[in-house]
Amino acid sequence: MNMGKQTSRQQLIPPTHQSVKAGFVVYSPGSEYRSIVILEEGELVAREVTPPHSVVFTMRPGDLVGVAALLEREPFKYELSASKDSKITLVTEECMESELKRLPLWLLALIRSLSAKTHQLKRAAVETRVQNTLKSLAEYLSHKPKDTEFNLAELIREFSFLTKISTAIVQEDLKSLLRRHLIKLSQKNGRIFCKIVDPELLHIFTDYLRAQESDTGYTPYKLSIVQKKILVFLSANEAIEPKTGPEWISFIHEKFSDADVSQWINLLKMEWFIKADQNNPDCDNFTVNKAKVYYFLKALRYETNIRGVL
Amino acid sequence: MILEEGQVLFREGAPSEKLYVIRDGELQGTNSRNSVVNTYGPGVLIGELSLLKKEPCTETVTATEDSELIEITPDNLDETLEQEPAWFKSIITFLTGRLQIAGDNKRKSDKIKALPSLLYILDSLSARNKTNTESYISLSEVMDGVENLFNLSRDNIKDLLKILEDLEILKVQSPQIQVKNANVVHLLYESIRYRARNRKMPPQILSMTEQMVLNAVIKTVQQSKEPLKNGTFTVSTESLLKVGKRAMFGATLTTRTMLPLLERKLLNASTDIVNTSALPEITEIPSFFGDFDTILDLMELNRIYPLLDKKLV
Repeated sequence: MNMGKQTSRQQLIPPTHQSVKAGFVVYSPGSEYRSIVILEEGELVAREVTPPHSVVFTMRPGDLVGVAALLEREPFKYELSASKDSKITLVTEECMESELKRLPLWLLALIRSLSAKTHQLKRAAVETRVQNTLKSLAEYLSHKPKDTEFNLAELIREFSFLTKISTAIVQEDLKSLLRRHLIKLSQKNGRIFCKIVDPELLHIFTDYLRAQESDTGYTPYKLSIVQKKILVFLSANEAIEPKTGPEWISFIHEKFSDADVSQWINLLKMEWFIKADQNNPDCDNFTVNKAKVYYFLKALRYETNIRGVL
Repeated sequence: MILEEGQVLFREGAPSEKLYVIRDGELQGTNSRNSVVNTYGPGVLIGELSLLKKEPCTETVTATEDSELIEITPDNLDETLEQEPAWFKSIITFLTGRLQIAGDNKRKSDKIKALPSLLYILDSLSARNKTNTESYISLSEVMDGVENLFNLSRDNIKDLLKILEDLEILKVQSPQIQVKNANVVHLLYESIRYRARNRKMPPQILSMTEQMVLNAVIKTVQQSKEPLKNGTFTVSTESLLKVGKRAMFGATLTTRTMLPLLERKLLNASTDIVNTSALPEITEIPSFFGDFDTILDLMELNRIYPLLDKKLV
């Protein structure tokens, strides 16, 4: 790609300079000709083409319009007329083309890039920001109560209002959740109703999808055999007294000879243990974090649902 | 210019006024505001707004393989533009301005559009952890929820939380958020949802007169020594009229002014009003009653609602 300046500069087709009287229509949307209008002197107004023909904006000397219409073929939908006697410069398609041909390639690429990025931003402003629509839907539904029958059309409407995701995509994602048995659908009086099987399972599913996105792998599905055994042990024993770190290490080692200090560090990282007194930073005692332990257990128990390999 | 694999072209936030055109190789751009990694290959331009508007770099760009770039300085640009007609510079200025405006609009619209998602998550989590009206919820749970639901960056979520904090809806006390009134969050979410769906003012948003009447009712209840019964207040019309004179800035309290609130059951008259076309005099109604918390929550919503648009835009 030659980004340097071209040596043989081609002939520039000059722009057209015009003096126009007040009331003169410089551009109307029906016109076949596209051009950039630069106001040198006087005043131009852009009006709606439909009654009451309201003024959309007023141009002062130095202002220009029609760049997007000429460079990006975007329609210019207003009628442009002189509100005072004015002097204008018209850069026609031919003129612009001849100018663009003369430019060094990097400058041409710069113009195209400015144009493309603006177009991209404008489009992105009206589209959904959500990239993983299934994760978004699972998050939304995880906040709904369990065992309540929701009118599916209402749910889709609310979710689309929140995320701007199209109905067609939502329907596909609902099928994916249904296939995983994370939701149930039923029909009554010609209406479809949706029931959340277990909001926490949907929450687990969003965590799983998040972990997949970050390529770190979902922690509950990376547990070693001994970690799984410890998990089951902790969940089955309701009343284990809080202990200090070293006490826990020897307690776990006693039950599972493979578990050592590094294992204790891993268990702490997975938040299976928390400080017995959360409000006391000097507290040395740890207790089993039941909520986390049950979370891991549930994730393992419903692994086939979460992975979608039923 | 040659960049070896692993070499950094520029860092996020660093001042720059150069444009780079990739001739060969590959570079990656990352920024602290989100986890998206942008990949740039041959023919791609990096740093348009640095060259044209001297804007600092928006991301850290690193060569992921040996790369060749063309560096364009402001002098190169000036030199080239000097050889072009004057109108051409105007077009470049116009395109630059338009890109900046589109970027600003996108950032604003992202926040405006993400607000319902944030309120949805706050509403759900605060309802779950509610003690009376106040609730404490986990900041990270809110962040994760909004990120999952709307894909908004954490910095933008923090900006939105700051707006809600300024409106005294909540207080961020990391690692928690104190939601001052969970009912108001719910009302706010439902009002915004109603407006989006029906393209009209939500019924929870009261007229100035209705707000003045309720303000007079609140003041009367606060001045009264009568305790609430299961959250229900009763005010005598005589006391209400006395307070109303001072609290309603010259407006008169009549059955007609009370009617919209009576119809919506926000206030109830102690005697039945059967015929709304021939209303009794207000003095003929001995007292009014209603749920005090409902009125307080509604008034709080009406304080916040008009301020929200201003804060967001």
